[in-house]
Formats: sequence, structure tokens, C-alpha cells
Amino acid sequence: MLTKDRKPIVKVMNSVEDTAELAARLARLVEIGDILLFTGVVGAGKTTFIQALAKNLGVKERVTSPTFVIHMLRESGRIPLSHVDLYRLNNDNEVESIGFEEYYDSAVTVIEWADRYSGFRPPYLELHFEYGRQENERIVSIDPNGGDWEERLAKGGIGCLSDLE
Amino acid sequence: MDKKQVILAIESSCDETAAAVVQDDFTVISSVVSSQIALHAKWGGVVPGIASKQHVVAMNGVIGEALEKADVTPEELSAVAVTVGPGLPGSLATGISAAKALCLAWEKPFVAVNHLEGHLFSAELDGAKIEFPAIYLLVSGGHCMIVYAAERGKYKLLGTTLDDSVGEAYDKVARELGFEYPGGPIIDKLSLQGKDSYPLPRPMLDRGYDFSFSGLKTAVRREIDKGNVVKEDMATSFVVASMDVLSTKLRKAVQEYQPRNVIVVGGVSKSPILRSKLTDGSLGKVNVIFPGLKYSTDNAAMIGAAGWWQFKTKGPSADNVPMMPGLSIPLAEAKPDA
Repeated sequence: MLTKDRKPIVKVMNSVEDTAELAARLARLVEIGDILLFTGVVGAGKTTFIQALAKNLGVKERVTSPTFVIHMLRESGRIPLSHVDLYRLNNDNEVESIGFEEYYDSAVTVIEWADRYSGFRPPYLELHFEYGRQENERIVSIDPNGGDWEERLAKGGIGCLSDLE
Repeated sequence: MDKKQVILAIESSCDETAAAVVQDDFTVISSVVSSQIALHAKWGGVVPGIASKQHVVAMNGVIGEALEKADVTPEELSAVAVTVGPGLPGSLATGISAAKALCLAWEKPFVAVNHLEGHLFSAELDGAKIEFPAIYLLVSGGHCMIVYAAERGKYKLLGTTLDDSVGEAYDKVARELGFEYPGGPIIDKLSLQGKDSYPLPRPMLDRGYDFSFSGLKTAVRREIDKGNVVKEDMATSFVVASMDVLSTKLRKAVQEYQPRNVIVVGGVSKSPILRSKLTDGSLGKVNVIFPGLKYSTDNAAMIGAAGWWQFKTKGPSADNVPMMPGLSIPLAEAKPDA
């Protein structure tokens, strides 16, 4: 999924506050129709980041991991949030049987464990999470893929997040 | 012989397509769950566990089988109850559409049920009597919450998970240790063979009634990354930590609310370790009740029981009640679409 002809924007987050700041900036620039793909191992911070994103979108309910239920819709924020988790799906057929793509045009769609499906097509924004050296350190690589993602990230202060580093 | 009043209940909030016929005293006349019957014989193919569009395939057969097993005709039904949330939108829609169509065709009242409230009723299926006030612990793949009920139907959510459910943590730890998903039951069994040797955290232990299992899962992953993990010992350490958190919070709730019963429901309530841990007397002087094993995981009988109670106390739901994938507890009033 991550094609190497572009250089992803790499951010180091040392605390919950860093995560919240990055999520707040992203929340200001996402729109209905956007697709955000989240990858990274268990505990790398995908759900935590999406919780912060949801909060900054004004979602009132508590956003938890949808691993079991696979797809949750949150409609109480600035724009609807369609939260998908592919962790327990085994192949493309299963992914295609869920029906979350029906909400692509009416929500911002965030997809955890996006690497479980080979069928995503740009434009999308990919966020890959890794553990850092310290216990609370997380590294996120943000990769704009197609559309006007690069411009929007730059405008939204994510292309040059030097104050987070 | 007089036939008792019966309700048809339909459940399709996640993986299972289920239908049941339940009497008004919560006696289960029939309960059919798609993954538990030989669907391939009827439909010429194995129905996969995870595929919300498979609800469409299975729905009529499951409903038909529930009615047939119960020897009940549509005319004899008092109402049709269905789960309207929380759940997977694509899956919920199938059950709701089926229930609404049947109500229209059979001219029966429609009852919209919250899946979580269904779980709370699961311990009362087939005759178990519970007494109020009660504390509920709902532990499953998708949920982890403690609920206080001063009387039936008056729910107060004391705490819920901030991130992962306990069932999800079990399944994810299992996969990290190399077992296939869902491996929760394997972790449970494996834990009987190991030692509590890894220092795992007890997240949020002293902070109210909320839970957090994500940090525990992360701690396990960190230990695995260090290499040379003894699987049995990790399973034991993880299970001990999880049980510690659940029983500590429950004990606190028992002390604060002095309930007559503690009722433990949801898929994780099947766990033999959880059952023995919570009945070892450490919760204090309180009667701990579990549902029958087949009613721990998702089923329609529990929707029938919750549906009966709702139908008797509040009457039928409006027939334009929408699907409510984000439903929680306490129960939002089921409002028709504006």
C-alpha cells in the first residue's frame, strides 16, 4: 500500500498531548468523503489516535475499538465518522461483505488494520503507527496518496509539524 | 392445553443471524443461531462467520426454523421483537427490515430492542429469578461495562471500557501469542498451566468503574517483543491481571451499592476461570448469577425476553424506529426518525 516514490511525513509523538495536537490539526482539515487508512501493530496507537480525532470532530459518544463489531457510525460530530476495523477479517471477500463503503460519500471514513484489504484505491491518507524507544513514544508516518492530500496537509500545518518534534 | 403468549425475536447485530420464540415468563420455546446449525445443508454452502451480507441469506431460514421448532404459527405471536442497535449497520439493517416486513404482513406489533439490554436479560432465560437491586457486569467481544439497576429497567451505567473490551483483549493477546482468532478460550485454558510471572499492569484499577484493556494488551506485546516469552506464563499473567481488574471493580460496586445479585453476562461470562473467580466469595455476601452457556454469546432468546418486558411496560415501538448502530446504556428512548 505504501508506495515508496513519495516520502511520508514522519512524526514522533512523545505523549498523549502530542497525539491530541496532531489529531486536532487533522480533524480541522478532514471532510466528508475522505478516507484515512490506519496501519501498525497491536498497541501502536491507532485507536488512541482515532479517539482523539473523533473528539476533535465533536463526537460526543465514547469512541472505543470496533474490532468485534467491525463498523461503527458516529453521527454526533461536525461530520459523520465511519469507523471501521478490519482486524478479525481474513480476506478481501469478507471485507467486501461488510458494507462500510456505502458510507464513503456521507462520512469521513477511518479504517484500522487497513492492510488486511488489498482493494483500497487512492485518494486516501495513510497513517502508519510504530512503537518508539520510550514506553509512551509512538512514531507515525503520514503518507498522502492522491487527491489534494499533500496541499491540505501543508495548509493544515501537518506538512511541517516541527513543533511536535 | 392453553398455549402461553409468545414473541418472535430476531437478532442480527454482528456475526450471528438468530431467531427465537420466547414465552412471556422468559421460557425459551426455541432458539436458533445460524453458526450453530447446519446451514450448509439448507443453503448449499457454508455460511461464513463474518459476513454481514450473509444475514440476508440466512434470515428467512433461521426465522422459519425457530417457528417450526416452537410449533408456533405467525397468528399465535403476540409481537415481533428485533435488535435495533448497537451493532454493525449492514447487519442490523437486515434484521430490522425482516422484522418490520413480518409485522406488516402478519399485522403484529413491532418491538425495537437494545442489544445490550438483551444481554442483561440473558440470565433470566428459562426460569432463573433475579432480585433487585442488581449489579450487571457485561463482558463480551464488543463490550465491557458495569451497570447498576435499582429495579428492573432502571439502569445506571457505572463504568465502561475506554478503549478495548476484555473479550477483544483476550482475542488479541491470543493472536500475539500465535493462536488463531478468536483465541480467548485458548488463553483461558492455557492460563491453567502457567505461572503468574510477568509484571503486567492493572489499568485504571483505582479509578472509578471505567476499564482500559488496551494498555494491558500493549504491555503483553512489549513483553513479546523482548523475545523468549513463555506462552503459558504469559497467558496466566494476562488472565490474572484481567480477572484482578474485573473482580476489583465488581467488589467495589458491591460495597457501594449493596445489590442482592451480581449478574455476569456476555460472551466472556462463559469463561470457567471468570466463573470460578467471581464465585469464590471474594465479592462479598452477594448472589452471583450467570446465564446458561448458550445464552452468554449473541442469541435471539435474550432479545425476546427484553422485548417482552419492553412490550408489556411500554407497548409497541413506533414502526418508523430507525436502526441505531451507536446505541448504549442507559437506554436512549427509541425515537422515530424526524
